[in-house]
Amino acid sequence: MNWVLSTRRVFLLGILACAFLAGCGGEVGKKNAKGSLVATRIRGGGSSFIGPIMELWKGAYEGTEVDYQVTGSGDGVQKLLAGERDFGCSDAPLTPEHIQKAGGIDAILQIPLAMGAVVPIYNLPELADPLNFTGEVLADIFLGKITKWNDPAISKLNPGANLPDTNITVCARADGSGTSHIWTSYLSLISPTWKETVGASTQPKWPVGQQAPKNAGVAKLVGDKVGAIGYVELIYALEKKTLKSGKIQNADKTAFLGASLETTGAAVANLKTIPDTLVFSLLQQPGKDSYPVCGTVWLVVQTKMEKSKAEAIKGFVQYAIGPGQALCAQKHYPLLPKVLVEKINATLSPLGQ
Amino acid sequence: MPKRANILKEWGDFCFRFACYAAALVGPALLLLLIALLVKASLPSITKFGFSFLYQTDWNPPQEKFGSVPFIYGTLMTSAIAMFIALPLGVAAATFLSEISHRRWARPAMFLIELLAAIPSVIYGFWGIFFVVPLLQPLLKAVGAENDTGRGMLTAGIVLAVMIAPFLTSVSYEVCKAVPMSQREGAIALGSTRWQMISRVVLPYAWPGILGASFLSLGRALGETMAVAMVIGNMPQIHFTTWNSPLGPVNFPALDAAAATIPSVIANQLAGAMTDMQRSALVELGLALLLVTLVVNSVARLLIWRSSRAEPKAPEIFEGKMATLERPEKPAVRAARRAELGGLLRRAVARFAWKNQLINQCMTVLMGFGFLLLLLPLFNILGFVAYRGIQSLDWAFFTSKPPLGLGHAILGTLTMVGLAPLFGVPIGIFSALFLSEFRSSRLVPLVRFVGDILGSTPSIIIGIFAYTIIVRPMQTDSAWAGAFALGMMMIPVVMRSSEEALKLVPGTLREASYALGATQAQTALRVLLPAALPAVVTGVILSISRVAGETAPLLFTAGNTDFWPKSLNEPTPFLTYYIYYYSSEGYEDKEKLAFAGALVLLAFVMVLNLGIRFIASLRSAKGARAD
Repeated sequence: MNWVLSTRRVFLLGILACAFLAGCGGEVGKKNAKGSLVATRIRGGGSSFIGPIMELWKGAYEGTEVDYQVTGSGDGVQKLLAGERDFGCSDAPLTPEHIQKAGGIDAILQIPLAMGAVVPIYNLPELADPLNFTGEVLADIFLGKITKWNDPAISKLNPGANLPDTNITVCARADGSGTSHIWTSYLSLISPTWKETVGASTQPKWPVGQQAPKNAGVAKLVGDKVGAIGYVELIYALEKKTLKSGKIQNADKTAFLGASLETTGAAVANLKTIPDTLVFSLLQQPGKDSYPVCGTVWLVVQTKMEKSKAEAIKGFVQYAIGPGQALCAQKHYPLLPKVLVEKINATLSPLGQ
Repeated sequence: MPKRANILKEWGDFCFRFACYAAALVGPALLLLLIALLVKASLPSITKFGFSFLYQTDWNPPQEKFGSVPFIYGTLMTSAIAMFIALPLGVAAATFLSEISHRRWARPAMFLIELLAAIPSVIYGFWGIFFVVPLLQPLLKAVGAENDTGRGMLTAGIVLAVMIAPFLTSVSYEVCKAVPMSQREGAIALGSTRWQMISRVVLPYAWPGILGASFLSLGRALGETMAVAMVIGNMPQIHFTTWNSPLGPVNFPALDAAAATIPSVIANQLAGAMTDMQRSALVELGLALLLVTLVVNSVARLLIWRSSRAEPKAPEIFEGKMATLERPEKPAVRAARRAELGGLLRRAVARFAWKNQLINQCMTVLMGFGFLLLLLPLFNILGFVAYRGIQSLDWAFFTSKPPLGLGHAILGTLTMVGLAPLFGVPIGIFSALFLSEFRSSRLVPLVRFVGDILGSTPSIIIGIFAYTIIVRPMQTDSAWAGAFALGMMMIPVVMRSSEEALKLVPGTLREASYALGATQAQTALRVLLPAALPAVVTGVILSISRVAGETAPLLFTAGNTDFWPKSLNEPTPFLTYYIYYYSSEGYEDKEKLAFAGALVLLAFVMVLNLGIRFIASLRSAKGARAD
């Protein structure tokens, strides 16, 4: 008798608990639907290329809470198209399939938000000076054709360097990555073999080596193994003190350039005419001081969205291309050229209309 | 009054019956839905590639070439290496603790091993990166391995072995403990050494249970995502190396080579898939993994079934001998026979005694060594995390969000881990009650089989499932989705452990309860469940501590945010996310947070283990007093 009552009580409690939880969910759901009770927070994610400057921006920007998750460019675009995020960032422009999925070219905006360089990094502690590379040599290394650091092709470019007889371990990105896209696009531009066998892609089939997700993951892979080589965005290369960044031959074949604010700035300065889609390439820009492997990160956003969210995103973009530019130098991103900023401001209007 | 009581009794019985059946059917329903959704999502890839998906070795997303062979290879190889290491180690440690070591030592030692089993996989990955990789690098270089980066299948296998061995040990220990004392006494009485007793009586008797545990562990190894992805090198390839044997060159799989497993490639590529076809192919990989686990489970069940049929062999022989002895014979003949038998035995013992003793000694040392080898990583991991974690732990860590602390992620993890048992534990326990109380039902084999499959379903696949049925319709990651995925992972663990616990309750208790006029519901809930409670609670802890450290299913369901979670309907931060990513970024401040997070997670899991165990011991003491 007694226990029956107590089981009943348990049942009742259970039902009440369920009701309570359901209530919680329902209540919160309503708030969300109205949108007014919840402070505006815009959710974005994707590219790790832009991660470091995004972290500064979202800390300094006071308009709204910007939740940016570094998950890789591929993920940024996918989640945006699935409607799971308010904006995505990608350092590879959208593919025709993406645009079709979004509902046409007018349904989507691609806004250049940051530019930067992709840098070959390697782990050879005994070498003091940065090594020189050409696109061909880099392609052969990443194809697995050059397997030793003292290969004649490398020593020819570095006459003074005491290259060790160490195996080369190629490190690349495991996830869908815009940095991979910039890197493989560059290699495709230079090496016909690379173009044929691997091609330019956010997720190429790497012929050799090891892979890890995100820029920082590649940097860690390289850092963990003597003789490793990889590619990362400039700031990731600079922040890893134990790793060295290689120099790459410029497009004019007149000099070997290390990536820096000046050399990426020189490449960006070539940008005179910008297409209305705001999609362009910064690879192999002419000029003696133009670093050849530069790329752009686009903030991708669907034009159809809640007005409040659209305003919030607009506000954030205007901050990033305006006052936010002052923070760029801190993380070694070049300033966006004036022409581009004007063009972006002009294209923001369809947002939320 | 009696009438009312009767109605209540019947009503209670009905409710109980209904609850049991309903809970038991949740598992099969979920599995069916899961398979249906996976098939639906992988249909484009299935129709396009057909069977070639299963034998093509090329995985090339930009060229839309998708072959699953490299991933199946990587998955099977790493698991094989892990089992090869973990099985002997686990069985040795378990038998050492149950048969050789003193009781006083066995209990705390088992406790330590269960702590090891509770360490989240992401922390094993950590340990792999920071400890195993640097350790293996020079070793591989010294033996002239082709890949001396320290990242590859071998490393993944070792990390997996350390990860699954404790679980294997703790189950094997319980199984060995359950071997009736009379069996041991019989063996000793016949003059066996301790090792003979272990190898010929205890282990054969316990073998079905050990096999079951092995296959559960294998399922865990096959589906492990984070720990593997962190150390395997993520290179989809099948790499052979050539050994110039005296008979000519022999090609064999290079164990040191970097590879990729099915779960690791899903974790790396699914979120950022380039095309719908790639996404579909990745889901098909998940489906293939599910099929592999299904096959593994079927084989396991077959083995267990066969060995459980073969198991009565020993007693049969015994009985046969007894029968011959008891055959009516003339007393003189009987006496002569006995003398002869005794003489034979004595001579046999004398002849082999020193040899047997030597073997006994050796095996004792070996088993003890296995036990120590198992405990070594525990102290290594605990020390490592505690050392680096304490340095970076401060008050702000608990009260603020990044970049100062991870308070928001602790809150998020607690929310989801708190919600999950509400769904997982009742269903698990009632399913177990169904299995133990409705044994004649035709559903029993199905429910048990589905439980086994769900239990070995890789967490990342459960993540995909929860993503499809909750995140997709809600159009946002949420705590609900995360908790659902975690709750689903708890069901089979709770169910299995509860069933085992209920099985161990003596039948006399049940009979006594029925004899006193109790109903089925009363017997189950008032007699059997309390008697089995300590073990049930252990199972629940195991499941909670397992899901508290999960990363893979939450990546797709909870999402993440760097802000405080405001509601259950929004992306919810979780600790393991930060532990995984912040540790691999190489920034000092982030690494600090990661280590502090790992320490907090580890402490949480340990406190959970200690606390609920304490309660369980109280409860069982109470139960003993009631008897």
